[in-house]
Amino acid sequence: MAKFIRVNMTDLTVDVSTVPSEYSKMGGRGLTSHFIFNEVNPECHPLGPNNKLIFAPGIVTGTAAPSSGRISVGAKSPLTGGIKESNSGTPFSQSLARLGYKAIVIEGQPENKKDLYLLKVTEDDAELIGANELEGKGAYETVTSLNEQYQDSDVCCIGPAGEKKMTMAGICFNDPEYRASRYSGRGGLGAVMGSKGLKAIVVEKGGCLIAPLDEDVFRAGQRKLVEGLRNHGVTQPGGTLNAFGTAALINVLNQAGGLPTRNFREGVFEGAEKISGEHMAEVIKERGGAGMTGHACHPGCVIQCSNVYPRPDGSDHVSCIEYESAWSLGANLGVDNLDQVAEMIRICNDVGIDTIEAGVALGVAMEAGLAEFGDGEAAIKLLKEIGKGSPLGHILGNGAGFTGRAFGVVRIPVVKNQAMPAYEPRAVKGIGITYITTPMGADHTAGYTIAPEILGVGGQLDPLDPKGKMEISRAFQAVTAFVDSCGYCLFITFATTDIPSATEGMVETVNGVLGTEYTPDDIVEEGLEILRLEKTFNERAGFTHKDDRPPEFMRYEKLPPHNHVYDVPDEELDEVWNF
Amino acid sequence: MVRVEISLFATLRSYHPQGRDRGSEGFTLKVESATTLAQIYDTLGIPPEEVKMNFVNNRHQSPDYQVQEGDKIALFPPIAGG
Ligand code: SF4
Repeated sequence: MAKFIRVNMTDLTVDVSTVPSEYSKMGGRGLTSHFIFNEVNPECHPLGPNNKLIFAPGIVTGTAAPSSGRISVGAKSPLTGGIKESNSGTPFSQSLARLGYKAIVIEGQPENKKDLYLLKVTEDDAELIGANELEGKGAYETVTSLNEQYQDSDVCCIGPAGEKKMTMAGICFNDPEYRASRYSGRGGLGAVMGSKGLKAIVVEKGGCLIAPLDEDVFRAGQRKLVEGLRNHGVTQPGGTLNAFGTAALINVLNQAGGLPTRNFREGVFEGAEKISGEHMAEVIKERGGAGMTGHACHPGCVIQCSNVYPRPDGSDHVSCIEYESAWSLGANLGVDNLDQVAEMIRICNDVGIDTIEAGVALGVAMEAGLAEFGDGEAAIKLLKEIGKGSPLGHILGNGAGFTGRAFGVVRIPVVKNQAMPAYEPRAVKGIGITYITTPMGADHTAGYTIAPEILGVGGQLDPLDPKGKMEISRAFQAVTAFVDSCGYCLFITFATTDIPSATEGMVETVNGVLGTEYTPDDIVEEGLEILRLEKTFNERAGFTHKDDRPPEFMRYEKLPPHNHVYDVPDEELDEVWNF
Repeated sequence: MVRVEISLFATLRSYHPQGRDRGSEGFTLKVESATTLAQIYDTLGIPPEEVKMNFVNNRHQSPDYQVQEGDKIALFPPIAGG
């Protein structure tokens, strides 16, 4: 039977028991959101003793299913005030699943707010250990020192931003080479972990692959899914994700006029090429050394979209430069120097903050005149303030919305106080519906309509036309909630959307593991149920339809080059929840 | 004749007329009026199945789009990300 760890930080006790039966067939986001719905008072303070933090590997995580090493982290978000699930790909998740754990729950709060702890998880047990010596340590040093101390283990930790309970703090996991680089970044979950006095979790490496209940069904599904991933132009070996990483999107969105530039003032960035995946791949090839494309965030990913970006001397600068970070710390700040962008990502990874929220907060700060757009060195200086915990650092570290309010800025690109990612809603109308209506706050991964709107995956729609986008956003949000529960990387959906047998394969792997009989038609219904719970939690936390609205400036400021405002009507936005 | 500006991206850069090393640079092409994008792939030696997205002046166009003087054309293979 799968196990469930409950850590009570108030009395510093740990309980390892059998997973409650209601959660036994759940995983990932389905599990974290059900748990938060059931056990967390929606009106609680996110940083107080009544919030709970839950880590859950996906349903098929730890098996031989491809690209399935994801972990979901859930809590009430201190950034949005609503429910949050943020997931990451890391060997940590596979180890946890392979040791037989369905979830780790962190609840309560230590009396002495200064003390820090570490949770050590082995196959049979889990214990809390004092960790005051890690106070103030960056994520790089924390992961490295814990890797030395607890060999053959995987690590999860927070950086100084999480300890200081800043709402852009994320939760860091190691990659296969023990870089502090894989993040459940969004929504301030690192601050929740910090509020519990938990600096890190160390999980003994899980040995064997999980054996599915029905091996034949699982194997058949796995084969179909792998075949789909190998045959799709986007996900195949040597395909664009593998060769250029997600940053190949920089030039695409720039050509579509939808690359938010200089704090969402324009949709085209003249320096796009220099921060693009194509340029990055060239620099990596030229500099050699530690640099590589086609890196995997966890063993068993067949897509391998990650990378290691080298310094001019070939040494490891950062992993990884992905589209969101190249945009948020590049185009969004008017910065076209990839080495400066890499340095900023490295700072974010070390301080323990979300690169999207950080970049957008810096964009808002530049709007306020704290630095000039395009001045990468000034941006690096501002970012360092967050790690120092100076008063300015605390303002920036609490996100784009907070920064905007502190400096009287009107152009603040947030929904539910969470920063918008790298797609301009005024140029791509459907993704705006997802940003605005998802219970998570502005989040592209929650319903990635970019696939049919821009990329020609799953159809080809006019990005500027709002018609019909509501249904698509809702359907994508539902499918995503299911995929996030499985533990699959969202990027498998590029293949599953276009190749029906790959979708069957995905569902069959789940059936093989759980002994269920889901069909591809059930996916949307399963996903909608998760969305309903999340929405209900938010309503009980005080959210209304007024929180499902775009930032007002997008209604009246036309975005060049298409010169559109955000013109999806309010009624259409509300209609997303009419199911 | 009309003149158009072309940029190639990702794997399509190997079809740059001046060679792969110049892949990131845009170039100008002079073509008969009413030439389609599909004919331009042909001129450049790009197999049509390798092109997934065509942007002309920041708008999506299909391969049968007929180019006009001054069009800025961007050609991409299948790309995705997040
Ligand atoms: S595709 Fe990229 S993000 Fe997804 S699992 Fe693979 S390496 Fe990780």
